Amino acid sequence: MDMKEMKLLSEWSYEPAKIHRGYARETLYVGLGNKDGNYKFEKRPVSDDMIEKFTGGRGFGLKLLWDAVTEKTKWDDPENELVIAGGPFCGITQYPGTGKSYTVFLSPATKQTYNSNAGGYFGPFLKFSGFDALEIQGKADRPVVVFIDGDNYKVQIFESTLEDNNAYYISEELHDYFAKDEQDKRTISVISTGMAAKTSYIVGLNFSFYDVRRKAVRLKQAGRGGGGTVLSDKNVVAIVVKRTKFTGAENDPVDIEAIMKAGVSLHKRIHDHDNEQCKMRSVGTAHLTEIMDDYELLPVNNYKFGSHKDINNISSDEYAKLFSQGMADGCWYGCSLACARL
Amino acid sequence: MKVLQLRTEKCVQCKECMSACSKAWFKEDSPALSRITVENKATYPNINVCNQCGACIEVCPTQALERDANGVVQVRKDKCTSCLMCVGFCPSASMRFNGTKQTEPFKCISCGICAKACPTGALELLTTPESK
Repeated sequence: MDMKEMKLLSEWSYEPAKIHRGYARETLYVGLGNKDGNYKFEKRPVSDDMIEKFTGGRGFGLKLLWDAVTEKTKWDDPENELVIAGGPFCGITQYPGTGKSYTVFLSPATKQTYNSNAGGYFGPFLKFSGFDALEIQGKADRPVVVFIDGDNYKVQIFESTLEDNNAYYISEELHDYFAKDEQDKRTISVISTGMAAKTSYIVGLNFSFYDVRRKAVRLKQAGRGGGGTVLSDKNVVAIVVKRTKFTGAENDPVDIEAIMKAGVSLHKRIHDHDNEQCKMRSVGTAHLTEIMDDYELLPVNNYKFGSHKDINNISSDEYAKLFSQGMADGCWYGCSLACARL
Repeated sequence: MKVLQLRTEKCVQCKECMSACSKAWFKEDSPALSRITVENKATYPNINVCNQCGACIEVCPTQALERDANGVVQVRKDKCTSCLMCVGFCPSASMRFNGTKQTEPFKCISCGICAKACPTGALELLTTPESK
């Protein structure tokens, strides 16, 4: 680690909500001020009506963004928000796909409301820290790192000392910075963007997790709509969450036995059939190349044709030879599909 | 490596092994909590128990499964996140789970309690030469 110690600019402590039936029933608001260093933190309640009408990550994101902006708000106005939210299933460890969380914001790319989702550990750790959603509003007066400490129930804003704007560099450094040791790195997730966010409207967000087998930080993307450009415009270098302890029933579901049985059934089917059907564990979404070629869906010559005679050169078999490292690449716990590659 | 040797031809399907196992580890006499199972398959006994092959070790995302000094595959509950991938990916379907007791999976750890309870010698705890 070559990162210098970061100066604490603001800090706030909270009483964590207990998750019941998938909801913490509280959201976290972080205001960055209007380039004046006026930081603000708030817990906001989630009502029965909000759960009934908006249900999960994308819905909560839209609701919170709706409340925050007006019809005149532009993507780079301070009141535009970056909302990150997981739904009631977010964090369930027993079956695939539950690491996902949604980002919602006014998009610099389309000038409209936009949503994009990502895997990684951020959504589950945010929920386990006591929040169904996180709102980031305003603009910081200097590059900052927002740290949600779900172990000690604090939210802190630090002045960034990161010397590079590359997403891998930021994520690796911050996993190092906030972890006590190697083992502790898996308790952290970092949201960051890359240096292109300074100059482009379409740059995505990276959600990290620590891969204990490869001993490396891995990134998943909420890639659409320019969420990274919004983060960068707010002068936020990274949002970090840390949460060490959680159980296999942290979401407090109504019927954990049913969830466990459904999860095992899915794992078993993936184990038995994935290698013949989707090959998600061995090559990931690269297996779509052949299928898209068979069904004339590839954008060959700018969509003039749907397939190509040389498809074998870029098929999943070729991909596996070049890139696969002979092990399944998981994401959030319980995702036996393990489609993340590289 | 410590592993249960099965002599299925001697099994009389009395299920004393299952009873002894669940009583030893869950303090309850319940077939659903036993790490070894005996089923009647067209009158023949079918004994299912972990053979310590270790395929689950490769699947676990948190490295909560590991071999102990005796070569026995153990679930380290402090690292386990209850994802149950090991249950679905066990080649012999010998990793167990039961949501009424715990969210973490459980398995045979070659303790030999079932072998002692078996009245016909159908189960024997062996130490095989492979240390791993």
